Amino acid sequence: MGGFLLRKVGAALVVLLLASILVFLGVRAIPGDPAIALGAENRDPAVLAAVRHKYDLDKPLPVQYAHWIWLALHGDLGTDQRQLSVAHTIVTRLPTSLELAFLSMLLATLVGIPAGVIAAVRRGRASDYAVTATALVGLSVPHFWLGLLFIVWFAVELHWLPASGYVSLSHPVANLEHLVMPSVVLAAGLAAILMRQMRSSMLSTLGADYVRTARAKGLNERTVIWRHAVRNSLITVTTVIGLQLGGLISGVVVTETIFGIAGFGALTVEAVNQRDYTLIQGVVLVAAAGYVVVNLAVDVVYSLLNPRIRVSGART
Amino acid sequence: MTAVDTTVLVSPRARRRMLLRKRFLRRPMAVAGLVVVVVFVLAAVLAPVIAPYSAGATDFNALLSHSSSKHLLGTDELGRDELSRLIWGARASIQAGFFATMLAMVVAVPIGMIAGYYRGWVDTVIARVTDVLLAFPFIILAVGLAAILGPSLTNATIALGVGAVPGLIRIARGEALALREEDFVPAAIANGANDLTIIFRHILPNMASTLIVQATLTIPGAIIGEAVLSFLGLGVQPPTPSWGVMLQDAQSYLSQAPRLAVYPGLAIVLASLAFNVLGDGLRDILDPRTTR
Repeated sequence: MGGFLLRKVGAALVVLLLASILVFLGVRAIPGDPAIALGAENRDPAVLAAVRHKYDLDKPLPVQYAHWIWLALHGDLGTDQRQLSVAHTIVTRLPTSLELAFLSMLLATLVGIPAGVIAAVRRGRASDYAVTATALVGLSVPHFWLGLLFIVWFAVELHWLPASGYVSLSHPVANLEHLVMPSVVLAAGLAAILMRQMRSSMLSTLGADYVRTARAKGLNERTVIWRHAVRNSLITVTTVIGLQLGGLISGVVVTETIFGIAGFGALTVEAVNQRDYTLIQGVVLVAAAGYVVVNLAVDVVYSLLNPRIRVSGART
Repeated sequence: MTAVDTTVLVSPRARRRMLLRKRFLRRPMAVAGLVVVVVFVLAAVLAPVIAPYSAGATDFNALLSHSSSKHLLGTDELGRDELSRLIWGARASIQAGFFATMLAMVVAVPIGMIAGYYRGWVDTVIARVTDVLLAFPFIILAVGLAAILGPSLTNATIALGVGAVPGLIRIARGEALALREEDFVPAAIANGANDLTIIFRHILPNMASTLIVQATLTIPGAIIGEAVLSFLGLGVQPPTPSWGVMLQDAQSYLSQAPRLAVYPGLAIVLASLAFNVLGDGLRDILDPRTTR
C-alpha cells in the first residue's frame, strides 16, 4: 500500500511540474512586452530596464521559471493589474466555487446512482426507459442553457428564487436560496453521466458469478443487489466521478457566469476579458493543481475500495 | 435456393455492408438521428440559399417582434430574423463539431496506438503527458488560448480538439493493446511487415468502427463546447451568428423576450441529441459484442 501511494504521489508531482511549465511557457507566448504592461505603459528605456530587473525579465527563462515556481510554492502568485495579490484574490473567491461544486456533486450522486440502480434492476421495463431517456436529455442539454431557462421560469415568471448573486454561508437560508438553481444546473449533466455508468456496471455485475452464488445461497434480492452488486459497481463509478472533475471545473466557470456568482469560475472569465496575465497565470495554475490533487485523492479512494488495484494494477 | 446462390456471389465485404445497413435500418432512433444530422449539415452548407434573410439584416420596424409571416420565429433586439440567424449559426456549430473532432482524432489516434502497441516506457511517458493535458479542462485551455491568440472560432475549435485528445488517446491505446495480441500480428510479422505497417495497415483498420463511434460521440460535446465558449465571449465574436452568441444576446432580454433564449438552446439540444443517438446506434450495430 505504501509503495502504491508513493508511486501515485510521484506521478502526480511529475504531472504538476509539467503542467506548471506549460502554464509558464503559455503566458510567455503571449504577444507583447510584459515590461511595458508592468511598468504602467511607461516606455522610457531606463524605467523598462528597471522593471525587467525587478521582475527578473532580464534573466534566462529557466531562472525565471525557478523564481516564479519558488514564489508560487510560498503562496505568492504576484500582483494583478490593480496591484492586488493574485493569491489573495483566488483564496477569497475559491470557497464559493467549492461550495457550489460540492452541492452539485452531492445532488448528482444522490440522484444519479439510485436512478442507475433502478434502471439496471428493472431493465427493459417502463421505469428503465424513463430513466434512460431522461439521462439522454440531461446529457444533451447544455447546462448554461438550462440555467437561462431556470432563470426565466423560477426567477422572472414565478419569483420563487433569486435570479443571480451569492450570499455568504453566515446566512444559511439565503445562501441556499441563491445556490439552488446553480447547483441543480451543474448537477444535471453529472447525474446523467453517473446514471448511465451505474446502469451499465450494475448490468455487468448482476450477470457475474458471485451474484448468482449469492442468489443460490438464498439471500434475499435486496441483499444481493445492495450488498453485492451495488458495492462492486461503485468501484467503476468512482473512476468516472474522477474523470468528470475537469467537466465540473468547466461547469463551475459557466454556471457562475450565468448566475452572477463572484467565485473562482467567474474570476477566470474576468481575467481573460481584462487580459490580466498574472491573474490568468495564477488562475490556470490553481485550476490545474486542484485537478491533479483531487484526482490523486480519487485514486487513493479507488484503491481503498478495490484492493485488487493495489496489487495487480500497480503497474499502470 | 436462388437466395443462397446470390449471397455466395457477393463479396464478403459487400455482404457485411448489406448486413450493417439492414441492422441500422432496424433502429428507428438511430435513423432519426441520422436524418436530423443530415438536416443540420445541409442547413449549415446551404445557409445562403435557404435562410430567408442574411444573418445581419436588421428590420427596425420589428424589434423583438413575435413570430409572424414575415419573421417565422420573430426577431431579436436589433430586428434581426431569428430563424435566419439560427440557420447561419448552424455553420459555427457544425464547423466546430467536425474540425475539433478531426483534430483530436489526427493527434490522438497515432499516439494512442503507439502507446498500446509498444507498451513499456513509451506507454508510461504518453500516459503522463495525457495526465498533464487532462489537468487542463477544455474551458481552462480555451481561456489560455484566447489569452494567447485572441478569442475566435478557430481558437475555440483548437481548444475543443485538444480537450478531446486525452480521452481518445486512452481509447486508441486500449484498442491497440487488445489488437496487438490478435493472430494477424504475428502473421504480418512473418510476412516481413515492419511496425509502421502493422500499426497503420493492420491495427488501425481493425479499430475503425470504434473510432467512428467515438467520433460521432465527440462531435456533440464539441458542438455544446462551441456554444459555451461563444456564450462566454471566448469563441465566435458578434455580430457573427452562433447559437452561443445568440444566447448571450438573449440574456439581456430574458423578461421581455424569453423565447430568444429558447430557440438557440433547442437547436443545440436537437443537434447534440441527434449525434448522440446516432453514435449509440452505430455502436450497437458495429460492436460485435452486442450483435443480435
